Amino acid sequence: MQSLSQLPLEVARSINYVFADIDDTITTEGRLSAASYSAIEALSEAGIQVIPVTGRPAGWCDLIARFWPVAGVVGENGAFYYAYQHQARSMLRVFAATDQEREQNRIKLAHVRDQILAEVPGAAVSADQNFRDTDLAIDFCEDVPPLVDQDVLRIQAIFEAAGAVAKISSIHVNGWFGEHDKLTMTQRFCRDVLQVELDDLMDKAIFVGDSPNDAPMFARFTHAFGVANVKDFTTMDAFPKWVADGQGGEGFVEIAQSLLMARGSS
Amino acid sequence: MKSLNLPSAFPHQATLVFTDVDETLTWQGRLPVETFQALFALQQAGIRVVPVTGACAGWCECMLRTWPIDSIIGENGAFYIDRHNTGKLTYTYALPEAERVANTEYLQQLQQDVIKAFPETQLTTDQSFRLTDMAFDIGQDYQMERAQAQRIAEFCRSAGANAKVGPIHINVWLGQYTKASTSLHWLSQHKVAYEDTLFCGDSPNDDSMFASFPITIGVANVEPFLDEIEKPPTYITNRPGGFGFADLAASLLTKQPN
Repeated sequence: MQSLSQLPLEVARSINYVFADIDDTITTEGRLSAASYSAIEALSEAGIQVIPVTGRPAGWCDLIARFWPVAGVVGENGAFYYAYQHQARSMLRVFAATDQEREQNRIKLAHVRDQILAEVPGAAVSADQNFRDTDLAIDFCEDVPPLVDQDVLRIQAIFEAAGAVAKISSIHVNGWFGEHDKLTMTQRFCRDVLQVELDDLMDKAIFVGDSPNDAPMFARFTHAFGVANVKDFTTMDAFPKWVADGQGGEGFVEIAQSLLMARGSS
Repeated sequence: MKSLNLPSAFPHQATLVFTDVDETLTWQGRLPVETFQALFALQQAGIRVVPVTGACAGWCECMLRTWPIDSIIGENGAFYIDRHNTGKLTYTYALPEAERVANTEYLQQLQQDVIKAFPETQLTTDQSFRLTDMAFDIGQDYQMERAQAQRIAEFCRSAGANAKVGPIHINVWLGQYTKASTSLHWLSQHKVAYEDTLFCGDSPNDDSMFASFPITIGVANVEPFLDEIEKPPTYITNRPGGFGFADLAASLLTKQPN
């Protein structure tokens, strides 16, 4: 990983799309700072579209898609995207799976949940599970005392033994049935909403993230960025190319500023 | 009494601001950066902000986890959520659990009756993130005439439910709580003096709040609804929605000239 300060000016100047994880990337210890929120607006006002790509639930994404100055949001690790059309006052909601498939998967996930709670003491269903549509989030760090790495990996193994996909974020292990991930739904969002293939955006788009559930994005984006806390993870399927000095939101603000300053210095 | 223009230096003592969210903190559906910064400025000055909203529990959790606030009152007073130093959230409900379960069943039946009687009715898209009440969309993603919204609300009332028509939703619920009764309960549980408390809102679904606090503020977009509010706000801001809230914050943070 190279320092953000090494980012070539011509790369920074040509960016029109910022895809970014939320927890511990845009936020810091769960909280959205005024600086982070201002950075999103400043990017948006400079004509750079911002698209959060998060593991957070549908209930949160519904608010974020409306309140924040963003083009849309990919939620529950790629289970869906929401894009609010302010002119038409309507929310576009696109899911990876059909209503029927999602209903069946909820029943299967309930069994996996019972098994995890029985076998991994200290793990809990996440507080935001009520507001989830598709995935099951197991809390190992948000509202419960942090579990050791071995227990976190065990949660992931139980999901996988049941045939589910499981991704570890900084606070939850998210599990789901289906082939979707952050990357596949981001591709669909680009096609539907931005009306361009993600593959054709690689010179103009960046992704910013911090943890293993961002690995598919780190691997795919030519310009993949990490905030400093990404360095806490020693094993990940892919690492970002660039890394900011600041943790969480501070790192996000640094990256946003480097894009905005490059534009100003043309 | 006629509402006054909000003065540039607020003439009363205040340690806590209860505030509505939709079109009071937001404007035209978006949360302005200026408003979000105002929340931080109030927090830094030691003035607590507690949103009191009709919004669903899913939205409440998102706001409480990510904003500079420590409590929120949601679903029109059905519960409040506190965030503790550990980061953990606790819910305190206005009604006991057995009653909430029975009410949910009753509302599901009423929902079907409403849709039968008014086939054009649309549930809000956040219905699945609600824990206690039912909401119909009349201006969020779908536009409905206000007179028709009032007829739907009346239909629900005649079935024994409470119904309030806001700018974007009709909220329907069971039980004798209001935004105000839950706010007053929150105050007593958190030992905050009632006299030091303000309320800021924008619409008739805030009328229990406007009626219950000595000093209240309406953001500019409250004007068209003043006839529907029993006790009009003490002050009205010049700017609408979240910009009006930012004006209130600036006024609160400006020292009185001696």
